[in-house]
Amino acid sequence: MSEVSKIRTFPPSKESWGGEAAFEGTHRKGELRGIIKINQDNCVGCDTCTAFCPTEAIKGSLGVAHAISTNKCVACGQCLVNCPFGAIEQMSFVDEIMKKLDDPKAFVVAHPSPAVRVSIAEEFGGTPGDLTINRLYNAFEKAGFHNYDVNFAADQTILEEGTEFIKKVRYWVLGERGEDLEHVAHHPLPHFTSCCPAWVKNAETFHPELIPHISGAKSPIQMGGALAKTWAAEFVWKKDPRDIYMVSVTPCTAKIFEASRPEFNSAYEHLKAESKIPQETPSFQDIDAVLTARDAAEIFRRKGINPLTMSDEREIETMNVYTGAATIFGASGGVMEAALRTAYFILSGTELSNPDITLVRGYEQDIVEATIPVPLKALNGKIINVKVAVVNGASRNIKEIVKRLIDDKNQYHFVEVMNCPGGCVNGGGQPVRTMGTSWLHPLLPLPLRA
Amino acid sequence: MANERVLKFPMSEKMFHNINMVTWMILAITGVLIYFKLVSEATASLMMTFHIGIAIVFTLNFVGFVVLNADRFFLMLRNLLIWDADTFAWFKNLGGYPRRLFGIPFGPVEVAPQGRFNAGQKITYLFFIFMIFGLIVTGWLLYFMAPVLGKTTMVYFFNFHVWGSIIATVMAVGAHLPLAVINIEDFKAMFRFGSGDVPLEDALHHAPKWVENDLVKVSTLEQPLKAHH
Ligand code: SF4
Ligand code: SF4
Repeated sequence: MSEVSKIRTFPPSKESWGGEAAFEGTHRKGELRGIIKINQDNCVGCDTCTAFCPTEAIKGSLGVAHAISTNKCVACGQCLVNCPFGAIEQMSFVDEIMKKLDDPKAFVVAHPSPAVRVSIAEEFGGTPGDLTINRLYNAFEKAGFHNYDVNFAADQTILEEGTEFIKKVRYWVLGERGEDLEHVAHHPLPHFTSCCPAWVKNAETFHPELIPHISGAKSPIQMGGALAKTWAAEFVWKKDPRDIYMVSVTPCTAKIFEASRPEFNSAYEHLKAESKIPQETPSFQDIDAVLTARDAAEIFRRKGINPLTMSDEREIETMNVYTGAATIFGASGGVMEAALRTAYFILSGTELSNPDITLVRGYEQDIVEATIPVPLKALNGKIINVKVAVVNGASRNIKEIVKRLIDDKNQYHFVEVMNCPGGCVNGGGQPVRTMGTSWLHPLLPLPLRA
Repeated sequence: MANERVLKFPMSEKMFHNINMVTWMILAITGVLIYFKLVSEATASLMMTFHIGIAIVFTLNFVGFVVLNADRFFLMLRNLLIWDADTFAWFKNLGGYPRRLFGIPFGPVEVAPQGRFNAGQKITYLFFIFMIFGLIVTGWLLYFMAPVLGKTTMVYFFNFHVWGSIIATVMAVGAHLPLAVINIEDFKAMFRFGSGDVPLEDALHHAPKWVENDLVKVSTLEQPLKAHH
């Protein structure tokens, strides 16, 4: 096992949210930009990072300090984890969150994604798996957070996404028409997953022709944020939603961007529409701040907490209950697998006999394809072959998939795209190891994997 | 004997050495200017293109020498790698150079008889050969394979390439060059147009064991003696 590298961070500045203009380049007003930055003084111009960038956002010739084009960058952080010289830095909200934790009025909620519970252990010298979920919850609690597991919301995303896919199958494959299907009339198959914010931003900027295909379901983190400030605030925590400060803890740097998207203030809109908050309340986001796994470890360090030494005992809480489907969400192919299980059940009326659809999970191949025969309950068991694909690491594969789709629109029904090779577990916010690269990693025998 | 000369540097070695020297210096200067950000970005970019172009010549020169003159190369390696008691004895007074150059009475007055290369040269030249090989390998790996090398390997290779070349250049300019100028007959043999021979007298003084063990007489008088293969 190699060492965990220290990654430099910087706080957001006023300009990070843009000026008054509705659009600045590819960013809307309020959207965070410049989340990943190359420190020109530390960059030796080795050019390694350019090979990992999915959007060719990195400029600079060999030997010359490189720079990131804000307009092209999707904030995935793959360049950061693969820079051998530690020259790439990440925008961090650690200071702001530390202040919130000291604010007695603020009800600060940690919203941890499944992939971080594996990785935070590494920041404290443990091996992946050393940190049980209870230890992590207890550590957050000791630091002053309340817990709300993303997995709880991931189950809702799966239901939403599965239901949406079923409607698309009914409309586009079975030719059904009806009021409940109208909204999918402009959203043809193939159905693309939407939970990877780097992929969504990539599609919006570089492949706008794919936008109608992308799922309308929000990512689990965003669903969680909205639920926390509406349902949980009212029924579980019994708190004024304006005092709730949602902190998503993620393996992903692009989630920092996602949280700032202006449309992700559903709780605010809902609460205002329902007159549950004063009309003059300024808008607030569903997720107030994002911590990467590295940032969360930094908070623990500043608070003198080693999550590995926390107790493993804990009562089961409403906000931390979830299924196995939610847990696999962060693995490549996991979203699709989870949604397919749901879709299979609803379309066929039976459980998928082998729910571990291994063909679509894992990262040994760049693009994994599978065909799953689904007997349709509505058509007396007539079988449709659902063709699925998992794009593993958009940096190398998204162009290939787009080309295939343009060549043959009927090639797939369901496409999962994860920007990072291997999915969220290999995200740009995870602890960075001194050895290894995202590219070689999958080729190494397990004991050698960094 | 006064007119007898021995061939110290055959044409292939001279060509290799001189092309290597010129390309090395260009690579070192461009490399330092780029690494220490001493020029503008546009100039650095241009210099890197130049650095890579010259690196091709540098590489071909080394590979060409090794492949086309394998016998010479291995003979040279043999000369560098054979270490006998006299080679080690050289260190007792560092070949008498501290006494000769700086008047420091270091070790015995008598210098142990040396072969074609003295012990100091053996270490230095082996280091230079290793560095040439290492810089070629790391340079091209950094150029073609950076994303798949693995980060730690990449940093090691990069530091070897940058700092190894700086150290070797300082050694070449600060030690190898002045000592070569002191051994003026060697210097002239290396840089004069035509044959790279030195007076037999000079060879007997600096490298008596080489003359004794390795050289054969190929003709009399002003013709150079040729080394054994
Ligand atoms: S990988 Fe790091 S050091 Fe190399 S060019 Fe990119 S930012 Fe600079
Ligand atoms: S963060 Fe991702 S998109 Fe942005 S420059 Fe780095 S690799 Fe490219």
